[in-house]
Order: sequence, then C-alpha cells, then structure tokens
Amino acid sequence: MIPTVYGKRGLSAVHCFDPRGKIILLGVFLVTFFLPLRIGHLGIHLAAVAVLTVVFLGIGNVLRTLRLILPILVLVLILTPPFHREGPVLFSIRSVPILTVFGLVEALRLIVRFTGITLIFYLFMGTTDPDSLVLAFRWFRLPFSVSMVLSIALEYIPTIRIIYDQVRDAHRLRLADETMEARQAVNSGRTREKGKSKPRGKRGHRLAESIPILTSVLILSVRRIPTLAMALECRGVGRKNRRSSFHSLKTGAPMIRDGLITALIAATVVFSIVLFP
Amino acid sequence: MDKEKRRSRIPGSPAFRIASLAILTAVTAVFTYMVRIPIAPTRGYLNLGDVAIYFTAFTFGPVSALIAGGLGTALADIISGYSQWAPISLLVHGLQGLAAGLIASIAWRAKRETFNLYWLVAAAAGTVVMCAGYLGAGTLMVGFSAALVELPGNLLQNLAGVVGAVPLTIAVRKAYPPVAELRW
Repeated sequence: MIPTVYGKRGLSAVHCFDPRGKIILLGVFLVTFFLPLRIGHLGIHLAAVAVLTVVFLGIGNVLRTLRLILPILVLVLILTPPFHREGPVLFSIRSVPILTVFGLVEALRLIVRFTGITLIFYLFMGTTDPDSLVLAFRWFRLPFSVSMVLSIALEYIPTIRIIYDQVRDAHRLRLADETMEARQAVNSGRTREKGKSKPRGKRGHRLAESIPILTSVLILSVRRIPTLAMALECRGVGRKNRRSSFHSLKTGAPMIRDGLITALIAATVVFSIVLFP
Repeated sequence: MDKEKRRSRIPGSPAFRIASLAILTAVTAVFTYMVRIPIAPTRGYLNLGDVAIYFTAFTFGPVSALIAGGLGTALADIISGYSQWAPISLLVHGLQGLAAGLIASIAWRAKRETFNLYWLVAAAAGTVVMCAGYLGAGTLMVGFSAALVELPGNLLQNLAGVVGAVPLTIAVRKAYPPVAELRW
C-alpha cells in the first residue's frame, strides 16, 4: 500500500468525507484560485483552506509541504514584479522601475494562487486513499479499463519498487566485490585485468551506472505482463459477463449528508465570488 | 509450444492491454519517484520518468506511452507530495509520450527495430511537447518568469531521459527479445 494519507486517519471528518464530494470541492476551489478576484478575496479563500489543512493534517505536515514550494514562491516574488511595471513606483534603480504596486500585487496573486492550489491538493490527497479515489472517478463514469489500469498500477508500484531495491542492492554488491578485487590487486602490485570495470566515484557516471539496474527492472517488470493478462482473462476481463467488478462507494444517508455539505460549501464559495468579486 | 501460442494470441485483447498499461504505468511511477540522480551544483535531482516514457514510446507505441506516461508521472507526483502538479503531469507527459510514440512507430512499421534517426526525432518532439507544456502550465500557475526559470531543468531532464532511454531500449530488446511481441 502506498502511504499518501496523512493525519489522524479515520478520526477526522475530512478523512471520512465522501471522495466524490471532495473531487467536486477540489474543482470549485481550483477554479476560484484562477479567477481574477481581488487579492484580499483570494487571501480569505487561502486562509480558509490553510486553516482546514492545519486542523485536519497537522501543522507539521503543512509546514513540510510549504517548505517544498518555498523556493518557487521566492522566485515568483523576485521575478514577477520586473515584468509588471504599471502603477505607482515603490522602488527603482536609475529611474528604471523595479518594483511597482501592480507588480507587487501580481506577485502576491501568483503566490496566493500557487500556495492555495498546493494546499487544496494536499488536503484532498492527504485525506483520501488512492483506492477510494479510483472508486470516486469510476462513479464519475471513468471507463472500466482505465479504472482497472489505475487500480492494478497502484497495487504494482510497491512490487516494482521492491524489485528495484533488490536489483540495485545486487548491483551494489557486485560493484563492492569488484572494488575489493581492485584494492587487493593494487595492494599485491598487480595491474587491473583488461575488460574489468573501473571502480567508480560517488558522483560520476550516475546515469550510466543506473542503466544495467533499470534494464533488469524493466525486464523483470514486462515479463509479468502475459501472466497478469492471463490472470485478468481468467477473471473475465474483456468479456461481457466479467467476474471482476469494483466496490461501490457508500450510498444512502451518509452520501446524502456529504452531498448536502458539498453543495453548501460550493454554494458559499460561489455566492462569495458573486457578491464580493 | 502452447505457452508460446498463448502468448502470441494474447496481445491486443482487452485483458492484455490493461495488464501492459498497468505494469508500464507502475514502472513509470517508480522510475519517476524512486530513481533520482543528484545534480551536484544545484543540489537538485533528475528523475528518470522520461527514460520510462521514451522506452514505452519506442517499444510499446504511442497509445501505451500516452496512458502509461501520463498516469505514471501523475501517480508519482501524488506519492511524492507534489500532487498539485499531477493534473499537469498527466496531460503533458501523456502528450510527450504520444508525440514520441507516433514518430517512433514510423520506424516500427518500417521494421527498423534498432537505434535509428526516427528515435532521435521522436525524442526531440517529446522534448518540445514536454517543455512547451510545462512552460504553459507553469505560466498559469506561477507566472511566465518563474516558469521560464524551470525550462533549463526540464530540458536537462529530457536530455537525461533520451540519453538513458536509447541504450536502455537496446539493452532490453537484446536481453529479452520477446518484449517485441508484447507491443499491441
């Protein structure tokens, strides 16, 4: 299982919230961050998303996410104002405007947008496990074959990761063995045998060193395709009366409750945009 | 003999397509989020997702590269905590795989299965699509100036992808010839 869910799983309301509702709200908030609204309005949306993310995922996780995007935010703050020189000048060098009010507002708008998008995605993905996500997309009429591809890929990622680790470790052992042989040869005064590879430095030839590992990983992976295909055929995939089907997400009262909450939040966001553009 | 017959019969069936796309998607995801090569001067990383995309395009064709490239990199973004880029990766890397795969399939149809000029043209097309896609999407997300700064990194990443994918494809075909039969 791939760890993508953070926070107190199972205890928080957002973790238990219907993934279909989360997808709709994700779309609503994403559109909001791209609308040409006032910076204050966007700031309120960002604050709401940030508070929700901190409450449900914890301040540590949120700070870690923000640290990941910090370099790009700094770049936006430095590089955006010189491209927008309209409005009152705040800072100039030899009468060349470097920082104007419009440039600063534009930089802040981009920072709020990117931070907001990052946090809303983090809140969404950090509280939804990938399998529920596939089921939710399936509910939104994602084709059966694409859902199966996603579902099987999610199961196979840890397997291929293990294969990669094993192959890499095996290659490292071989290299360690060669290095030891080389050292022994140097100590005993013998020269390196022709055709034997040179022990490589830590930084050099990283890509070249990884090719044999990747070749082995790819071969071990693609060899599984016919077996997996036969297994799927045995499960009836590709036939009209197939025996494989997806679970369905919860229905009844919980779905109606989460649906109403989704509608309420989406309506609040839309009204706030219409009333205070 | 039966096994061979069975294997040759399967490619093209819905089950085989799902199986190959799922495995290639998983491989692309693992290559993207696990295999990272440190770049000493910037302390950044090059991921090898593009190696997997170009390998898929050269070996399995445009449709496989479109789906596995897009889904694999999007899943890798989700797993590694950069989920805000997942929709963009889905689209851009998918189109990158499609562009590279369409050109590489010309060589496939001409029965030129080893390294040839089409692979380089395919890689160049994939690079253009990927860099243009990320520049456009980056402009929407963080503005043109910040998106432009990312361009050299994307070019370097693609270059590493091409440099890695060509010997990898040749090595895999040489070490495991039945891989050619898995194309659909």
